[in-house]
Amino acid sequence: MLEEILKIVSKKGSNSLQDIAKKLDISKDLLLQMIEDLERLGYLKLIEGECSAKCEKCSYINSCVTTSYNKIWSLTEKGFKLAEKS
Amino acid sequence: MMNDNLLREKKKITVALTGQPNVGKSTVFNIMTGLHQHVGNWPGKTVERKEGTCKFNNYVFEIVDLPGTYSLTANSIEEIIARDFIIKNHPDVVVAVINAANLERNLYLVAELILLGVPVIVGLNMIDVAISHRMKIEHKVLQSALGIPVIPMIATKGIGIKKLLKSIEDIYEKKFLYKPKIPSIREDHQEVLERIESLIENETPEPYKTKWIAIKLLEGDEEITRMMKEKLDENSWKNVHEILYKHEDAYLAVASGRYDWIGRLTRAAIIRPKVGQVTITRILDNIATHPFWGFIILIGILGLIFWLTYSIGAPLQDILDQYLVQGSSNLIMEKLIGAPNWFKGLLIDGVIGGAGTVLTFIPILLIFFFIFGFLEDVGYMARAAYVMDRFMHLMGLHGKSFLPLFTGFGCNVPAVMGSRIVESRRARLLTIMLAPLIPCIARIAVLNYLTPIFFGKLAPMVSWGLVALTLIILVLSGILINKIFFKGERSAFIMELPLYHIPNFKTIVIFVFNNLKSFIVRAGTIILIVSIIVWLFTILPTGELETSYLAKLGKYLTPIGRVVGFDWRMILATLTSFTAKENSISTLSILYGKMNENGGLAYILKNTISTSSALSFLVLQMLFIPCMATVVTVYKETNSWKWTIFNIVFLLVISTIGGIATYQIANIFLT
Repeated sequence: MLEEILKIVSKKGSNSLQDIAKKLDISKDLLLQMIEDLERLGYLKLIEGECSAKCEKCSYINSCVTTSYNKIWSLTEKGFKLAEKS
Repeated sequence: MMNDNLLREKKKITVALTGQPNVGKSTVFNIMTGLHQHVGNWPGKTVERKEGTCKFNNYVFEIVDLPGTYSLTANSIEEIIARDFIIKNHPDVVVAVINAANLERNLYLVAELILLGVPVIVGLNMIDVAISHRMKIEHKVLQSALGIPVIPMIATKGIGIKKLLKSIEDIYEKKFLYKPKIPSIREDHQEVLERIESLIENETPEPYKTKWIAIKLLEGDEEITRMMKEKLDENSWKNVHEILYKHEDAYLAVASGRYDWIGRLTRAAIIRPKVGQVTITRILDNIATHPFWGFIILIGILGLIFWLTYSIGAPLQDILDQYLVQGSSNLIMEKLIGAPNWFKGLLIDGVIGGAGTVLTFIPILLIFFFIFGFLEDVGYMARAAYVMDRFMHLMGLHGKSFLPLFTGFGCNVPAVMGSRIVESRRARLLTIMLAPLIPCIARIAVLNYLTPIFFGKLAPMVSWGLVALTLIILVLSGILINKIFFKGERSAFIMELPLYHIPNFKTIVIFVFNNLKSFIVRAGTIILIVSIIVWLFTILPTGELETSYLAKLGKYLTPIGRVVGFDWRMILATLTSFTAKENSISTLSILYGKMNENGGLAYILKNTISTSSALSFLVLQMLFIPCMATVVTVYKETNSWKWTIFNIVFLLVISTIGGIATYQIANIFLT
């Protein structure tokens, strides 16, 4: 199932957590666990915000990653290669 | 007598207590052992070891509390202690305490535990927390799916402990049909697993099991790998190592097998709530993120934003323009009739002309940012970013960049600043480079003023066409810049969309205020200063525009102007747009006719400038270097002269090419 996640992600440039969970028929929690595993192994990378603005004054607090409100992971080269292999 | 002897000797059952941290394992341990516990250390380690006894029926349970671990890898002391105890000391029963509210995560440990060959009982603890999360766990379903006992408990209230003890007894006395369904390795690696098993079969040291060792080797477990390397002879190890090397990613196969197992178990046993924020979000998103309908809805909503903004904002802008700008200029003309011309000029053309810009656009920006902020807060903008993501990918960006870029339709300054939310530096840079290509309301004002003059009824079509052209060029530029400077990195993302929620008025107001502030303060101050400077260059050294320094520059550039169909006045108008985009209009009116006869200007323009020149003027204006305020913001956000200058040069080049192309092509068709 782990490699299926990579395959789904590599095919379609952007994917929502909900989308993938629905495709694999698993809960969001389980999916998050697998994503963390893939992240630990280097197939996905958690994108961390490098923002210098102060969050309280920022307009985009709802969309921003640094408030850890929304997480975004990107597929690494290693992940792309594995997705292509299978 | 036989019975007396049996009664006198209580049977001893050794129990190992395992579980992830924070599942209530200690509570269970304490209830079971009470005061009969002893704390020490694991031999040779600093990790705490707790053991105790518990009397139940005719038994004495010797309970060891193993360190809490998330899994049984070789990565930490705690994990090694836990698995060593179970493998080497071989307790009679292992109790895995798990948190019912976090069932899926906790089951990963159970997946590893049942491989060890010791009977496992699942203590399904914290049922009350699961219920408060509105989760229902069918423990009987789970039990039959797992093939091992599942005992629901609320340890903090002492509920379920007795049942747990009874279950331990039943397992020990083999009264429970213990048939664990063990997770298997993913299909495509089954053969590899068997091959390794056959290679190490004879050399597996007691008390380890061959299958477990083989799986650990495939997982790349350090401790086991080291152990087997020493145990096996050189040749055998070489064979094993070869297989392991060829299947570096076998860990994924092992883990996948476990996740499949967990998925199957939980699908059947967990029932989640059907109401609330989560479901509303899911239903709405079925449409909002739909590959086709989602896009249509986005276009619809964007269209609505523009329609509302301009239908409410434009009239307000006209009112402000009439009463505030014109009104104050007239007032100054009246009251300062005796003052020197240069002073009146400074005030009217410089200060009011500059500040007037800022002030009249406020109503439009207010409405624009308010609607945008509302959609942001409700959570829709994250969906917009998601839907646009597909297109952003062409440029090597991802959906998030869409948000700041879209605010560029209001003003480029907050758009450049908003790029802060884009995570990677590369994507952020690219977003900033492209933001000035978004037509801000000032540029749209120029369009709206000039197109009716030259194209009459066709004006809206021409305007839309030019906006579309600009956006196409934006996408092409993005693709180009991404390929050249960022080697066209391929990218794919997973994003978590936030739940829709009821908008918070205060948050929206702060959003509007922040964006408006960056426009007024940043843009306003710089526009004002540059307005005055440019005004200076329009009157020095003679006091007449036609012979000023700026006019000299315009006349000097006439040869270039010829290729794009501009005369020196149009060149001048383009140069002054550097202050603020709509200054090009005021400059044209100064140069072609009197300031206060707007009707007259239209007539003059129509009859002096050819349609192809007008068209190329518009195209060039749309693609030209941004106003000074934007340039300053680009510098501040990129912190790099290199990129700021690149931005200016890039826009200069494409606007010139655009102008030349438009003029030459238009000439062919229109003459």
